[in-house]
Amino acid sequence: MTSTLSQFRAPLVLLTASALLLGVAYPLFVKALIGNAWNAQVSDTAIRDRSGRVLASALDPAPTNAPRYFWGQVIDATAPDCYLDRQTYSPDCQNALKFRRVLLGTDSDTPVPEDLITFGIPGQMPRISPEAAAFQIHRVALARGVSDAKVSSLVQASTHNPTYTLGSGLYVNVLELNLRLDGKLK
Amino acid sequence: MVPIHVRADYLHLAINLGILVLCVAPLGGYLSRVFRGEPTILAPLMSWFETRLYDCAGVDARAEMSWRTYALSAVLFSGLGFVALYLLLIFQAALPGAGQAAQGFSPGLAFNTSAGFVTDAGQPLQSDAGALSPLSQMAGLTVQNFLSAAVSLSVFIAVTRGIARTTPGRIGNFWVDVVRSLLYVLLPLSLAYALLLATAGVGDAIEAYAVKNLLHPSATAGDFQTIATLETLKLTVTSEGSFINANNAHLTNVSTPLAQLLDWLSRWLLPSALCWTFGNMTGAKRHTYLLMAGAASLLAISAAASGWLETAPPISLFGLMDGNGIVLYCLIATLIATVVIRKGLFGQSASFLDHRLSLFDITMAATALLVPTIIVTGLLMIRDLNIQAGPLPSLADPIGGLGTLISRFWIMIPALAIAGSFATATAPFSKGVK
Repeated sequence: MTSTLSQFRAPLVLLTASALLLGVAYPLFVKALIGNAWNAQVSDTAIRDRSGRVLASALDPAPTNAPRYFWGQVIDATAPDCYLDRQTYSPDCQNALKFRRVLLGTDSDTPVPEDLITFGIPGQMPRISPEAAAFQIHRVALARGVSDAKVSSLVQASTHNPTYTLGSGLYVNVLELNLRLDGKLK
Repeated sequence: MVPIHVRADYLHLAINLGILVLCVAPLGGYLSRVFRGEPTILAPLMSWFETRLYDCAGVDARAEMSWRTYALSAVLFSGLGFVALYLLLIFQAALPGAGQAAQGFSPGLAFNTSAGFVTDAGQPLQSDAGALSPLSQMAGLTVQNFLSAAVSLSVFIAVTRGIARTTPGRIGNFWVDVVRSLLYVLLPLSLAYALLLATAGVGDAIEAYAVKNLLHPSATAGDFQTIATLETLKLTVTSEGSFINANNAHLTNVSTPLAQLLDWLSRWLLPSALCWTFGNMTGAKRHTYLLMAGAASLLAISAAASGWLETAPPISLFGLMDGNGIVLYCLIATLIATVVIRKGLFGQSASFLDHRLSLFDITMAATALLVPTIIVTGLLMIRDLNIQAGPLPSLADPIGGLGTLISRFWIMIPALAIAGSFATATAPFSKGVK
């Protein structure tokens, strides 16, 4: 009996100790460290106006399918997982893609920037390629009754260059761009 | 579905590989010192705590184990961790710190999730992360991320010790190995990774982590602050963010290249360093390169095959294994290949590193190489049939979990048996042969 108990002593003690050390102390330590020392970057997902008021989060998805706004990747909030398996989308999501093509006013032969007809992982949706933004400039300008050049300059302002840019290039934050279009963000 | 801004770039890959290669020798050497029990640079910080842990756990740090005790300890430790995590997930809503998690996991999902985390397999968390309570995230998944990595590190080191025959009949002390890998390897590396990732722009990286509750544009400023902190915590310390190949499938989508580099390094740094440690501890340097070549080709195959990873059975095994497991698998494959080449092509004796392999060794090696592949393939086929069957209750979760557990322990235990046989090595044909 005692030998059975002693066999369990080491794993139980180690599990408890790791739960305290790694499950409580370590996360809180990292959180405190990053939260204080790296605070600017941590909270950087908020998009603010000049007075510091938070307008939106860069994590928010772009408004879908309104002609006045730039669109990001396709989303379907009701179906978080669009993949039946690694290759195929679920029927609902396939329909959403077809609908997006119709909205873009293109038949299936016209080349469309890939990210406009791709399902996005939620966090990536605000980001589109400059090509995808350029593709939409004319439509947005028409819907708003402004010149292409004006919209184009706003696109330029919302174009970002990630740090350490080897391999991945410029991106346009759709949410930020739309806020600029509405004049909420200068 | 490669996101547009994560296009592969050869220069990027070359830089990543270069950094990895530069890190391998120093880290590999450091690992050998840690697991030989020599004092390391972190000893002043950690040794007090280490000694207290041994005292509390009733572990004699100098007593080494036979392979059977070692394997039993590893299974016992993983098993208890599994049970604890499973119960935590099932009852998370009733436990303190439930947060937004309104309900516990279903038994099947809890089984699969626990299996995935206890084995350190590269499986993404299947439910949406909002359903996890902070307690489950921190005390459950984070802890298992560390512990499962510690177990796979320890087992690889024990196998190396056996092959190197450091102590007759013994392959080290499991509890000491686990504690030392936690305190001297995983914790410091993980901390460094978390801080580097923060430097790389967690603000950017967080974008990959937006979960359902972030999809409300009307969220107020106060919400942003809490969410950002919570996301950072998740990113740096729990499931997706843990530093080793632990369910961080999402991290491949981290959007800054520096964060991608860190993610990539975090998954391959330790496995590559282990190859070096193997050469270091056994004194057989060329095996370092053999192992690395093996692991690299497996990596290349699985990268090339990532599109049909799920549907291609032999490869799917590697989808279920962690990086350290792949190196262990390669080690056994190298052993078998050496024997086959020596015996078959040159007619020499079936030996590996001056140890004549018994039938027991070869059986164990073949078991480790083949059985998990066959069983996992079968299980995946059953799972696919079950998915196609539609209205039947889904068995996908339990089957996936079972496959994960088998692919881990059915390689680990035979590998330890081989190590034990190397370490004992009293007669050319030890027991196990009639």
